[in-house]
Amino acid sequence: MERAAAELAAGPLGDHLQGGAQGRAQRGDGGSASGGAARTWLVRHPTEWRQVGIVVVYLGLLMLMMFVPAARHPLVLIPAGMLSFLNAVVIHNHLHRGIFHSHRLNMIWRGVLSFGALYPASANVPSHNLVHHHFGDDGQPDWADPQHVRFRWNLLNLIHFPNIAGPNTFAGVGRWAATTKQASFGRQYLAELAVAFGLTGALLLYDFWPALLFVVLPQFYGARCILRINLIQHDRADTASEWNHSRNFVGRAFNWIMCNNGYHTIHHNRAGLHWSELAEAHRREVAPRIDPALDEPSMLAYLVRTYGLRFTRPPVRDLSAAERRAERAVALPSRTARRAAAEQAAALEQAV
Amino acid sequence: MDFTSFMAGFALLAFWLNTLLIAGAGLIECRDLRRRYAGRLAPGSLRRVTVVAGQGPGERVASVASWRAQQVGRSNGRGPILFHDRARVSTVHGGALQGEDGARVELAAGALGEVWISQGRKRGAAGCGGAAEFSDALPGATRAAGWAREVELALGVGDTIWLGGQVGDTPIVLADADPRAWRARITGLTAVLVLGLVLVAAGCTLLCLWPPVFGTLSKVGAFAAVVAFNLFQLVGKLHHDAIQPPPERTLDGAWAPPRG
Repeated sequence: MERAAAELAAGPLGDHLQGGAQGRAQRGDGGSASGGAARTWLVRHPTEWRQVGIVVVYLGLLMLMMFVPAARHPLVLIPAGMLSFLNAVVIHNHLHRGIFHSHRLNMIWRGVLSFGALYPASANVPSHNLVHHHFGDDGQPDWADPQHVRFRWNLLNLIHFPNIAGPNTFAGVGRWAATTKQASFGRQYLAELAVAFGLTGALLLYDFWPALLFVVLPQFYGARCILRINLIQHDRADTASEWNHSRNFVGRAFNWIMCNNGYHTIHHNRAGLHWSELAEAHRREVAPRIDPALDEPSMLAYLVRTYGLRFTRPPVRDLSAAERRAERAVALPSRTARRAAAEQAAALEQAV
Repeated sequence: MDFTSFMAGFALLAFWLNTLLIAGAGLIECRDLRRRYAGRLAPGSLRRVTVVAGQGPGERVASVASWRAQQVGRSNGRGPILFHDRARVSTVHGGALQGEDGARVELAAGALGEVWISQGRKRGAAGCGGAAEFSDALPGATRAAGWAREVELALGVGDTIWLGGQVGDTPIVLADADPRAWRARITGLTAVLVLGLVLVAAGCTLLCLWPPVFGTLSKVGAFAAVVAFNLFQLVGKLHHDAIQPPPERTLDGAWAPPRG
């Protein structure tokens, strides 16, 4: 296992995958996120404690509502719903780059996150890292392609989107799992399923109604919101382009709590970058090239404007002019190379 | 009403909203597909013809048109080879058709057309020819790029087919089976989807609200609703896949490893 991982990391895409000093820190070979700084305790990067905190607070709120009747209140439930979505954001980040130095701890953490979302976190490997990051490049549409929903009333598209993206994802994950050479993927996936459904089932058996209404509902909400984000980030963008395939939400406070997941263009183009580096990379590489309409200051304002204040879907914008204007000075690996890098990265996270 | 009761009502509302969205999406998609083909499958527009000349290749005889799926097969080397479609293409090679009334229809190469091949015929053509064919494909399928292949089916000289629409108009339909059967099938599947979802959701709701609310039957109903909520999404996907017109319907498929 370790030798296979070392071979992967040493492969032709190793630098792209691991991102220099950051990568050395991730591999736990004595490097660090900030070049020569000392190795951080337990986690690969100091900012990971923010992600750990989000999950701990979220699970704490779920347990509070489960076991303390007085806590079953909107002031607890609403934050729990929001944190459930953030738990799914942490899944996203963790499946790109494991939070901890220890491989075993990373795999256990996937189980914890799976309980929070009520789906196996490892599903993100094929569904997000390998398929969504490359849109329809492999000849089959992205499982979470915005074109899957076609209601005239745009708000219905937002509500309905997870009903399409969810089953597409799990059907696709099943097919991918049957052909992947990552032998440990299947075991890990089943373990996460067992943890997520086992713990939730135990809570339902212990006390059905609080478990259903104050644990399962927030779990569903977060899982469905992370699917919805695909529609929000890509609808009416041009997934065939290099710089205008995604919508970004660039508010600073929003990105602090979202662990920089508002910077989506740079995340697609440089999936190997650690999330803490995305804001700077967005300003440096994306902002000068992207159509300004795809850089939204506020997600809330965008949602209200797009799904609340208008009935129909916004018209398709011509983004080709912005794409033509974009400087080509930044050397972006080809999509094929990026896909290969993503596959290597996924194998590395699974095998290390 | 306490907060727990409010949340139970809210959950039931969300269940119904999503049930109706899945049913509505299926209904709208079926309606749009029927509209798309209304002109070409209308009486007077759809006729039975025989292929009398073809300019395209064929296994035994020349073909007038063909349907092709470009696929990639992948395997981990231990299990089956699973295929997924990369593209599905209809091609009119050119030739001539003759109606039952003797009227002749000339088709130019490259004419706009959709080639409808029945799913059973496609599956038959895409199946594994035996252990040797599997063994030949496996090394390629275990590579990262997968094993690329094409599955092609043609409408050849001598075949009796269905022609829908006027040549040179919107894309004509060239089908090896009566396209009205497809239209009836998607209508039936959609009716089953809509009625099925609504009836199951109604049953779950009835159980949820069975007095005493929050009692044992109520719990059974709520658990059934959670299961149904997830199954409905899968059923919606299956319905979507099943009602696609034949040229666009996914072929995919799998080759199982030979026994022994």
